[in-house]
Amino acid sequence: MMQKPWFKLVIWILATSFFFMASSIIISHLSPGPTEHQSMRYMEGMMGAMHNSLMGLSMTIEEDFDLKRLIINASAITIPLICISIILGLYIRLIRGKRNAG
Amino acid sequence: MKNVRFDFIIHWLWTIVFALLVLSGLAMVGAKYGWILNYDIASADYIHRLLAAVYVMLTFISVAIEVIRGIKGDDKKLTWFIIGKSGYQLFTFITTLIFIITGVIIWVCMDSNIAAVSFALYIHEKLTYIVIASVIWHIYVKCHALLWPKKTEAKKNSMEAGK
Amino acid sequence: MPDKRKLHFWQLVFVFGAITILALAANYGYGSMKQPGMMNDTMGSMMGLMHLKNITVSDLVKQQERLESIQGQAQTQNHSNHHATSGSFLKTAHYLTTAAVILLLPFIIAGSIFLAIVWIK
Repeated sequence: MMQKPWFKLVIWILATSFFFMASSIIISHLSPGPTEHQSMRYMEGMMGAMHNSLMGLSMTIEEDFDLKRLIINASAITIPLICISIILGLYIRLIRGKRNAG
Repeated sequence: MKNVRFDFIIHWLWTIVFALLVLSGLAMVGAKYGWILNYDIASADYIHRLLAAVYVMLTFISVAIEVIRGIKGDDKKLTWFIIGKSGYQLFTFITTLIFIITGVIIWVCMDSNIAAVSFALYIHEKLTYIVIASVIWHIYVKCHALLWPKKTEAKKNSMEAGK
Repeated sequence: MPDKRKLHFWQLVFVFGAITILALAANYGYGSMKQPGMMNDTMGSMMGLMHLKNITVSDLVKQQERLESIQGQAQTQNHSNHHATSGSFLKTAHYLTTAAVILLLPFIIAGSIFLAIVWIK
């Protein structure tokens, strides 16, 4: 699998894209502050995201009863799940300790 | 194709999803970064959120597999897996957890708790830089994968990949 | 580097390093050409300008909160009305992704706590 040419190509594209990200971070971070035009376009883009994308919808979570209930349910099961996992983990460790000792 | 392993598939799926997540996320970091996707924040946001769900699902699957292996007492090291108990796998595990938790805070509290959101955004953003640097390091360590297959080297590399 | 296997890595590093340096140089040249009067300002006001312009998302969010608190409830009312009319596909995607993320998070946290307990020597 690793030796297939198309897969090598995928690996190369991914490696290049990560290098692109790193260099774009450095470029953006070190370049001089944004011009008026850039800031304007960024703000416009943000407004567009508010209106035409999921960002705007996520601002309405508070008024959405279904999602609100979902969040409450999810946070309600978090603590019991953590307790179960702690107990299970300790149990597994105990069993393994006994097995190693015996 | 028949000896392609599950952890191998997860590894590369994860890589693709993470690369797209970083690209779309970087475009939203600030006005200086907008040029990456030509200031199209709406699409960036859309891609980022859809892929975030995929990312969380992949994480869930990997954690579930590790939990099952933990219960079974299976100590065999999965070389291609994204999470594990040591080295870069552990690093990926911890950073992924932080990414997901801060991301959910940003997602859910956008409407209610602005202080938490700005704090989570700060961590989410700074962690991205650290993780990108670490990915470059990961590429450096594993960069024999970049070698184009030659007839003489193919056997050697495939043996190493299976190690 | 004598190591043949790292050759491609160094190739990538050099190519992208060159791109980075060129882009930065071009950016600085462009910026100074566009705003020749910027350096005439005092250091303090320049810093102020820079910090006002270097907006990150967090600042935007803070600004938004201020705006919303100023404009009050009527604005949020408008807000939700507006989004109710936007596409239903977006709405479905919003529900699915949010539900997936929120529901899986507790399991992921619990699983990782389990793993932490099992893994620690």
